[in-house]
Amino acid sequence: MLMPKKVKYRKQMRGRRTGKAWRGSDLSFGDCGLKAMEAAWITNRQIEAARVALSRFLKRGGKMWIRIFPDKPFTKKPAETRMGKGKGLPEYWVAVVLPGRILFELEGLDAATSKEACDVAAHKLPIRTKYVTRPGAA
Amino acid sequence: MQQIVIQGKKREDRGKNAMRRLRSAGRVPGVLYGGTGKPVPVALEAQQLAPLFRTESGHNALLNVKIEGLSEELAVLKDWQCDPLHGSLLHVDLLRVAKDVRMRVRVPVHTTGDPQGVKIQGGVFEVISREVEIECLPVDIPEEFRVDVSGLMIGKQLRFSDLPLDPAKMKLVSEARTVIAHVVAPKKEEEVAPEAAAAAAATPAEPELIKKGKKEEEGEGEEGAAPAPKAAEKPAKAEKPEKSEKKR
Repeated sequence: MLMPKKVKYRKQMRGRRTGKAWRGSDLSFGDCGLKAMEAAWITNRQIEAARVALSRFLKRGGKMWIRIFPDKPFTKKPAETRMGKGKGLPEYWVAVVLPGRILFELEGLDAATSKEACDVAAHKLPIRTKYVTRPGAA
Repeated sequence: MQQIVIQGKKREDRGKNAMRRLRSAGRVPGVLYGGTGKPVPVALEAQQLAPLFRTESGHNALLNVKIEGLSEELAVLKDWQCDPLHGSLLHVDLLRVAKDVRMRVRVPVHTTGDPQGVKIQGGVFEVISREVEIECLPVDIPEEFRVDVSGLMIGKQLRFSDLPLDPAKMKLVSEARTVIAHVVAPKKEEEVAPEAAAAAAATPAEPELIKKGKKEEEGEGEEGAAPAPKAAEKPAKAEKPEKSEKKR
């Protein structure tokens, strides 16, 4: 699963998820892709599940790009623990996704197959998404 | 290249509130600049601009900009901003151009046909570059370049130097050796043994921490060992409140 190789600090503050994704909101590599329509923390497990779903369609030939990376540690306190005593331990990694962000890109598949692949991958994600293509593409 | 007539008005209002009102009225704020004239803030009809964004080559269309109170000017779309979520047009930059002055434009490159390397050899066709930068007169801007890739085999590439450019009208600005598309051998996915996969899932490895002042500690030698007891004291302090809980 995706996670950073090196980090400066083990734990991070949560931050705010406001606004839209002004960066990474256009197709840069492929012919089509999956765009986030909501803000969310996408975990590395969810990214992996979507990647596996997409890669099954790519066996017929094609290429995939993952445009998000889970670089934010998600901490959790153990069960039945009293409040206090500091922040919990890092549990997994998340990618901060804002509305408009391109999550995955595909190339080399026909329009119907790539749409189907993106639909399957979208079911692995906790947010509403949109299938996007380049202007003029079928 | 197609020529489109765009009508608009000179814009006096500034700021986000005025621009929001403008957009809700079906207009797009923009600016007309370059050439010999001064920059003019304008409000353009969104419906007239929409066709430019329906095709990849639409951005290179020549625009006859008719602004109320000003003379008709020839311009091209230099830059634009779209809403990342809904794709609606937010702002456009129009650059004045002269018909007799060469300009640099990015023209889309499209591929046609099924490569033989994919059909016969089972390779994977990859498009590397989708646009090429050329220098030409505004009237000579091509809509697109269509390249036939049906002859491509595995390991063969198509480069910008292979594009059918008319040397009298156009000059290639992009690097001629840049690959447009190629066919590569398919990558075989490494099958992970189930035991190894289970072990990897069971032990979630933590990333390495980037430590500060690592070199200083190494240079100090024996003195570097001093902070260690302090670290050991910390858990002892943390235990104190637990004792008080037991008393309760």
